Amino acid sequence: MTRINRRQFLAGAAGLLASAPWWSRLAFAQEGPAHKNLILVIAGGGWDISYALDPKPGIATVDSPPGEVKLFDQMPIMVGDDRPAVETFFSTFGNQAAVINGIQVNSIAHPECTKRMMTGTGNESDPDVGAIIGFEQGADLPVPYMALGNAAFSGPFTGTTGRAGVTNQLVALLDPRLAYVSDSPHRDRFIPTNDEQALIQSYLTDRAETDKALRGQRGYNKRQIEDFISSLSRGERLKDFSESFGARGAQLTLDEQFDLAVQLIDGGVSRAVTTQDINSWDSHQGNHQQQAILHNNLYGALNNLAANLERRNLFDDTIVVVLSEMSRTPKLNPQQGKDHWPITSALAFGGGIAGGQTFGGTNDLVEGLNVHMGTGKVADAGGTGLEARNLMCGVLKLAGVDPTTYFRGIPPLFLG
Amino acid sequence: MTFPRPTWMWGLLVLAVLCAGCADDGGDSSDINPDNTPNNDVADAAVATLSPVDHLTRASIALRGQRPSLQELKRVAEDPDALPEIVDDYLEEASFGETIRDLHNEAWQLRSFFHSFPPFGSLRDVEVTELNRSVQEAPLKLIEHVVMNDLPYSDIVTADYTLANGLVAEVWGMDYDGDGFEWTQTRWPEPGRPHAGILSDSFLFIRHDTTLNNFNRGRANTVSKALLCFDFLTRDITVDGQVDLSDPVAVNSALRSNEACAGCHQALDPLGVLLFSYELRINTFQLPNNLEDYPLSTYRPQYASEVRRRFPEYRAAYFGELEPDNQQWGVKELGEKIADDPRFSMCASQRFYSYMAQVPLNEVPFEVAADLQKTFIDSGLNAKALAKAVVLSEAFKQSHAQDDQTDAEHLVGVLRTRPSQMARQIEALTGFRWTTQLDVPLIGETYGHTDLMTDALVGYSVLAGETDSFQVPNPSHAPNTTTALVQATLAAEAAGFVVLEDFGADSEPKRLLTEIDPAQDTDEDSVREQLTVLHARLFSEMVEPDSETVTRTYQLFEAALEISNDPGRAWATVLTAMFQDTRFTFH
Repeated sequence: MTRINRRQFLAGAAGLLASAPWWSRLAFAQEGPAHKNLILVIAGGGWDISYALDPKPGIATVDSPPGEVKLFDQMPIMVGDDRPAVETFFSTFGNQAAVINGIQVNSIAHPECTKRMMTGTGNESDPDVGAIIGFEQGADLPVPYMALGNAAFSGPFTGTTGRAGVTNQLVALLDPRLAYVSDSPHRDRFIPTNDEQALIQSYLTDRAETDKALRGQRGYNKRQIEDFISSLSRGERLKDFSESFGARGAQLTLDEQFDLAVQLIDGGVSRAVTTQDINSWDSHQGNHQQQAILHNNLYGALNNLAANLERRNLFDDTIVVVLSEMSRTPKLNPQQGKDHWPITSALAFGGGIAGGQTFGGTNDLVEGLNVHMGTGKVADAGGTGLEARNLMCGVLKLAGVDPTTYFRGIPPLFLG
Repeated sequence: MTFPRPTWMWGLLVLAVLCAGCADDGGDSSDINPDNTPNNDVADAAVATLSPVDHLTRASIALRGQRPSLQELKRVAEDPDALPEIVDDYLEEASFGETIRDLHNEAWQLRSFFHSFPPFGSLRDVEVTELNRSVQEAPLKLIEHVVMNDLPYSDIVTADYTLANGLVAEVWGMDYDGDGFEWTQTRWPEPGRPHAGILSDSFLFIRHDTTLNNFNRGRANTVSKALLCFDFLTRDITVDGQVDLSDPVAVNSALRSNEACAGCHQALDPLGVLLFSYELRINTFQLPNNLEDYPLSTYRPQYASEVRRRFPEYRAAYFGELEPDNQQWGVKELGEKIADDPRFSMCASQRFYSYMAQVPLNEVPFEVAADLQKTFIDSGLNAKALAKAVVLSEAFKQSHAQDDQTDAEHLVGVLRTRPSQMARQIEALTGFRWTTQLDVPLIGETYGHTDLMTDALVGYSVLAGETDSFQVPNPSHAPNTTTALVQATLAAEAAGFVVLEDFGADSEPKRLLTEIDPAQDTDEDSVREQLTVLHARLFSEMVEPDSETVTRTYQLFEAALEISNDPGRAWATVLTAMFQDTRFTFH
């Protein structure tokens, strides 16, 4: 995918949709599923895939953790006594989950890998899968794409993206009672009443429409001013949801982020939410001690997330994708840590996922194997290398978004 | 003298011009005042350019984060040729220096709360925010000093000194004879330590750290990306699975012999060798565990010799120019070579344009960058000349496409004012700075006095579209829900503040509400007079009191007064709205 900026992106997307034969668009609409929500989970720093998703016990080329390989449906998963939550998760939800192995990132630098895994292109001006789904499926919601962690690439869809802030400071803007006290000499703050706020909104909208008529009739200007106009009402609608954000001043744990993500989706605020583990997985030293705890914590939170989605009847309407921007070297380094490795794995569960299966794969050197994208299975012959963009296309397709709008000529990985 | 056309037609033409000068219906601003309308007059012009007044406004905000004064607007309205002279004045203001620092922070990503210095020892009573606003800012202050003193821009990598305030001097153990707050020239304290502008700065190498396995590659790429706009990481890395990346010996061999690796590493690794004079990695949060008190030294000259002894196959070089056998290059030589590299001036040109025109760095048109580079070089690498060239360029003046055949995507178009600029803009107009005092422990210590529009940890800068210099590396310029919430809250805070200030007992001189006395002046004429001035100062709209433009705002005032029956609240409501208007949000 060539590098494009916001202006080119949306113009191109609109043009492509306009030029596609009417019957092809109708066909896609008929065969595609209804829209689905997305929760993206980022385990930042690089997880060790031998600890769960891509077990390689008993071979000289890989330093594996203690434990055993168990088969959950058709998925071989490494489980261990020091990370019981892994087994709990796959025992409970394995038949609705899929593992994707052998994703080639083509980099080993954290920021670069994060870009590539989330955007599929490595261009930070391109949107990630959450931004696309938020824009495509939830443009009328208050915050179609909410980033609860820091890692998020909205690209041209900044207008439909919102951020909570690393210490949840968004809540201070939603609830005047939680606002920071300004240290100005005047203690009385001006807080518009509802009636005053209505006047302000009306004025701003009128003025913006006038400005749009003058210089916002086309292209980039048009979108900027239209995003401005829509943001006025979105902000007001989000205030109705302020209590769900909890307190400000501290980073939200993964459990807290998951709870909030589900509430945002269930409450009709967002269509896609990105969450991020506040702990780093970058275990250059003491790999085992760190990865065991991190895996246990992550899968414990995933257990709670899946259960929460089920309780709210959202499981079948929500795709959860768990990934890390890279993985770790097959062998331990002299400090008993593991360094960066450009082949990683992902976990997906929820609505429409062909559960109990492993897609893609790696060899004993933990190199990515070619796959047939149509089945997701490792190719005995032929096939192509699996990259993040194939995974993203697969997720988009599952969510009811035509991936060809964003990734021309890129085959989507079969996920269900 | 004869007229080429019948006299009556000339009379009609004169009449039309006169009528255009006084017509003011507000609904179509092309009738209001030619000074506010884009330049649509040039025949066949498919792209409308900004009016002189709007051009001045855009330049003013881009250069210094403030709107032009009323006098400046009137001057340019009457004489558009005065604009360059006004720009020259802007380039001398301290606020332009702030812009220079902001611009370079996007390149260097230094304002990172993840790399905060803790107050302890002799600095235990210093607030976290205050300490780190100094230490993290020091490299940017050096760049500002070079630019504001009209020194060659290359001094940022060759200067034989550094800058420090009292806190910076204490952290690093520098000589300092200022009053604690002022930034003065000084030198790094370690004997023999080379000076090469920001390339000597200890914090730069704490922010951008490394490990022995990484071998300064990350640092080398940071330097290359920031100063030469050459990013090694944009290339794909295909790792040969036969190479055990956890084995330094295997890696070492592969980087030289494996074709998949050598393509990048043949240039990257030698660059990294030049940076081996600083501690590899320091976890600033652990400093109190390892150090009784400041100062801290990160200079490790022995590393340069050690790395050459242990890894002779890693030959220091600058993009193919090898270090001579009888020399040991370091940051000083690196700075000199960067200064001589034509990519340096091109990169600076691209970065200045990218920042001010809000165009992604890799989208800056080459012909624009080339023109700017020429101007920059001809000026002797004067960064003010470069900034001036940017804001006076034809591309910078673009407003909008006038027809459907014109590319409406690649124009500079409407620019959303950055959070730091918005904060300065508000402060200059109202005196209000959105700060709070956080007497709570955060990142281990009392956080302190926090600017909510520039702080990323607890403040709103990232929510408003700014970077956090770590995990959110790039700003975003489109409005969305959270940017709207930030601006709405700031608007109400500032509006309330300035109303209380200007209508208070000791309200002279007034800042914004200069034409009105709330106790006496609620009549329509007085209110309209005040609104007319506000439209000019806040929106650069030079309109008449009875225009439709002012009428709309008057209607807002009238309705707000009817709700509260309180002139102060009515004015606060009006200003809250005006501080969120598109003409205030975009420039």
